[in-house]
Formats: sequence, structure tokens, C-alpha cells
Amino acid sequence: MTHHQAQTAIDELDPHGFQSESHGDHVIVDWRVLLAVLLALLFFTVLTTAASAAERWIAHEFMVTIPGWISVVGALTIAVIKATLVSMYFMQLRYDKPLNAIVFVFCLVALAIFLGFSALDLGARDLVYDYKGGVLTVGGNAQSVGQTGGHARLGPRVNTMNRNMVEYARQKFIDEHGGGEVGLAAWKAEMARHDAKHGVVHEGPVLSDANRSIRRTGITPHLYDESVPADEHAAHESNAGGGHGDADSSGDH
Amino acid sequence: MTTMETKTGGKSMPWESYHHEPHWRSASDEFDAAKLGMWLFLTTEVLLFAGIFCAYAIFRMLYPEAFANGSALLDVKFGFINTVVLLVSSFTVAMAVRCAQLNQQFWLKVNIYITLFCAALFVFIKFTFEYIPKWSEGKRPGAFFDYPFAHHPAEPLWWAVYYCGTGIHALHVLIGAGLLTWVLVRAHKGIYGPKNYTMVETSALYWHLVDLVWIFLFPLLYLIH
Repeated sequence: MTHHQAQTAIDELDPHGFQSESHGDHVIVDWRVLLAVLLALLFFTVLTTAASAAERWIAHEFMVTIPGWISVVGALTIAVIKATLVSMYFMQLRYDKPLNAIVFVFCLVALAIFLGFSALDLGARDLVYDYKGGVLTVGGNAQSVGQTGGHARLGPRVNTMNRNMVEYARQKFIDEHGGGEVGLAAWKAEMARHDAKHGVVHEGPVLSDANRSIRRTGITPHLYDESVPADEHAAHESNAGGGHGDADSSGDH
Repeated sequence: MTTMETKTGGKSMPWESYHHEPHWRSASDEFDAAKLGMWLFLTTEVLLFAGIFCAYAIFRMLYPEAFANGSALLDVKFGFINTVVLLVSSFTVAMAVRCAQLNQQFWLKVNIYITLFCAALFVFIKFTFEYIPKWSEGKRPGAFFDYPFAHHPAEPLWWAVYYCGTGIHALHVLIGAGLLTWVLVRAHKGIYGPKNYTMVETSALYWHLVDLVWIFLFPLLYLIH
């Protein structure tokens, strides 16, 4: 008890020295600063949302293909600015003892190593193994769901008859709506309505996407073999224009 | 409420009699150590979300079409509203810390109430307009997937990343709201003031981290196509 009573320099009602301004490390941030930071954050939120909408509108209106990296770099730059504002002013790193900021920056360095090396590894495998380029860049055939190996899996066991989940769900809808030609017609009508609603249609350069920012060497092998009707297959390829790289590799299968 | 008499007379608030634990040299040291501890914990939280961001980056590299299609199925409107809600709550919780430092007891409580309201609003919007409709339409992760209008076979994977990312974030919103509720209860007892606001500040730091994660989740999931 005598220990802290010996610290006579500390004012019992004001131990951090807010009133005397003697301890500069415990800052009370001005409410006008906090409000300005909030307004800046809201402004950047509107900006990034508007930029995303504007990008889609320009691509659609002027029929131009905007490279995918533009939206990625733009949106993430704004996100980093917002995160910096939050950590410096709301989390007070700017006014704090430097140790807290150092801890946080080291954490971000670890994060950068983690994300950077993962991306580097995945993006550069085809430089080492030429034959892996096609498979690794585009991905697998997503059919492992039907092959239930091992017991450690989350969720239901679904026997998809070796179809992938997307085709399985599609077939289920067709079967529930009369099956065969009737069901297929119902599905196509509903699919067209759905695409129009969400703007997912791939006719011409409507959407910019990441496809145009990375190298692609071909479609996933055997992706649409057998399980999709022939006319549907053709429709899919004609829809896939706009530099998806599907058309030039259609001879693969 | 304790009813001690102060030197100046009148009733004293509990925070006025706050003493740091005896193993600390001063209240300032105790505060700094608690804050550093919170920051160390926050780094582990960042690395938890780093795994999700890494999964997003890798699967987006592998299946860019699936991620573009999946992203188009999200409604930017709700993502935007929830971003605004979280930013406002971050502001109010920063104001709460300020009020505790300045002994503005009434506004301390008001700011925490607003923050808690924002937390509830965020979760309400998330579930009512996003999770529940999407899940019932079959837009589900992995083996739960049952959506007949997908284009790309990897779209269940997109939904897995979406539900994991936003789900773990929503869990953090709930945990943060729980922490702030505890702070609010104690604030009603007059425990926080210029001599003792460590718990207000560390809870606020946690809440800001929740905001920080959403600042990245929002553009990655909703805006980038």
C-alpha cells in the first residue's frame, strides 16, 4: 500500500494527467476529429460503392471491357485508406505509445507474407510445371462431392451421381417440374428470368471480371461432358464470349 | 451504488475510489499493459480472418467466373447499409471512450446504447435480408448447395467462402455486443470515469476490429466482380 502512496506526483482524481496535460500519452481525442473521421469513412464508402456501380454502368453502356484488376485495386485501395483512418483515429494508434502500433504492423507483415506467398505459389506453379498450367489455373472439375472419401466431412452426404453440385441442383429442379423436356423448358424460362434479374448474362462484355486480369489456358477438362444436353452445351459456349477463353479451347473434348 | 463521502462533500462515484492492482507501479502502467494485451489479442483475430481472406484469394484465382457470378447474386444495397451501420457504431463507441475519460456519464451510456442498437441492426439486416432468403433459395455452401440457376460448378465454393467470412464476422459482432453490454451494465453502476476506463477502451478496440474486418469484407464480397 505504501508503494503507490509514495507516488505523490499522481493526482488521485486525475492519475492520467488529463487536466494538467502532463501525461501526453493518454489523449482524449477531440470529438470534432472523431466526427470528421466518421464523415471521411462514410464518404469513402459512398465513393467505393459508386465507383463499382459506375464501372458496371460504363462497361454495359459503352460495351467496353474494363480489366478486372481496376475494380480490385480501386476497391482495396479505398478499403486500406478506411482501415488506416479507423486504426489511427478510432483505435488511437496515432496518439498511442508506439509499441501498440509496432505490434499491429508486425501482424500486418505476417498477414502480407501469408497472403503473398500463397498467391505467389499458386500463380507461379505453371511456370515450373508446364503441364499443371491448364489444371491449376482453371481449377479442378468440382466433382469430388459425388466421391465420398473419408468420414470427416461437414454437412449431408449427397449422392450426386458423379455430377457436380450445380448440375445436381439443376437436375433436381428439372425433375421437380415435370422432368424431361417439360422440366427443361421450365428451367430455361426460370433461368432466363433469373439472369435478367441479376445481370449474370454472359452475352458480350457486360461484366468485367477477374478472368481478364489473369492468364487462362483452357477450360476445365470434361466440365460439360454428357451431363448437359447438347443444345445447352452450345448455348453455353456462345454465351461465354468476351474473352473467357472458352471458345478457343472447345476442341479439347 | 456506493455512497462514500468525498473530501468535497456529496456522493462519490465508484470510479473515483478506483485503485490499480498493487502489483502495478501506477494506474498508467496498468492501463498500458491492458491495452497492449488487447492489441496482442487483436493480432490473433486478424490472423484468424487472414485464413478466410487467403481462402478467398486462392479460390478466386482458381474460379474467377464462379466468384463473379456469386458476387452478382449479392445485393450491394444491404452491404452498403451494413457498412454505414458499423461505421456509425465505431464512431459512437469511440465517443463512449471519450465520455468516460471526461466523466460524461449520461453520454457514455447513450453512446454505448447507440452502438448496441447498431450491432442489433447489423445482425438483423444480415439475417432477414441476406442469410435467410439466400439459404431458402438454395444458395448454400458445399454439400448443402441446392440452387438450380448457377452457371459455374464452383459456385458452392463461393457460398462457402461467403458464409464463413460473413458468419465468423457476424459472430464477432455478437461477441462485441456482449462485451459492450457488460460495459453498459457496469457504466450504469458508475464504475467508469477518468480514473478507470480501461475496459471501455479495450472493448472499443475489439469493436473497431470488427469494423476493420467488415471494411475489407464489403468490397471483396459485394463490390469486386
